[in-house]
Amino acid sequence: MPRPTRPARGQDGKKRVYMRKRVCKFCQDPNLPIDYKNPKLLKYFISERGKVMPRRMTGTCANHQRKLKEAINMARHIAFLPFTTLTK
Amino acid sequence: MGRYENIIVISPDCTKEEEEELLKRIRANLEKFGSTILRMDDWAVRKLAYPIKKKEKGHYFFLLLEADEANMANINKFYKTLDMVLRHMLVRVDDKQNGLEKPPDHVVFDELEGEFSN
Repeated sequence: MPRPTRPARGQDGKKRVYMRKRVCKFCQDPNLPIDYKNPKLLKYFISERGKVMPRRMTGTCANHQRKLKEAINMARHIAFLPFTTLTK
Repeated sequence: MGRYENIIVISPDCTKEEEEELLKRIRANLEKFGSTILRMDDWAVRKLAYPIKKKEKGHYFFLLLEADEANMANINKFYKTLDMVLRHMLVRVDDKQNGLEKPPDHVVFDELEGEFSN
């Protein structure tokens, strides 16, 4: 009878969560501009609540994340993106 | 001198004549402050991501200016005096920038949004 496989555990005994390595979207495609006028693209980088997604979730590199944050803040000012969404 | 992008959001309530009057005034004042308008786009009435001055919609205009940095404060001050302008923004851009071909797409943020606006 085969031994049941145990989930891989890290050194502290906690279950290790495997995540696929994500690559920065803007580094992959240098022609893709980070533009405050493009809310469709920026929407990908904000949560349902309208918060800016952290780098660890989207895989964006530090340099582009900084530019992204600027663009999102600008888009918020001219009401292309919300500061927050309505609660249930 | 530098190239600037200017987005203005005008209240959707104002009539066509009021709007033309306003745009005429804006154009005259921008020229007074020594800037040339390279491009002026009408992005039509769009839904705002959040209400501004209790307005759910706004009429967007996009302007591309060739202007002097020293006059930016004056232009900002001028926009603040206009009641019909809900929002304005001036951004310094690269000299090769020519604005967008067409207005950006409309974005819906969540399904709940529609229910609340009705």
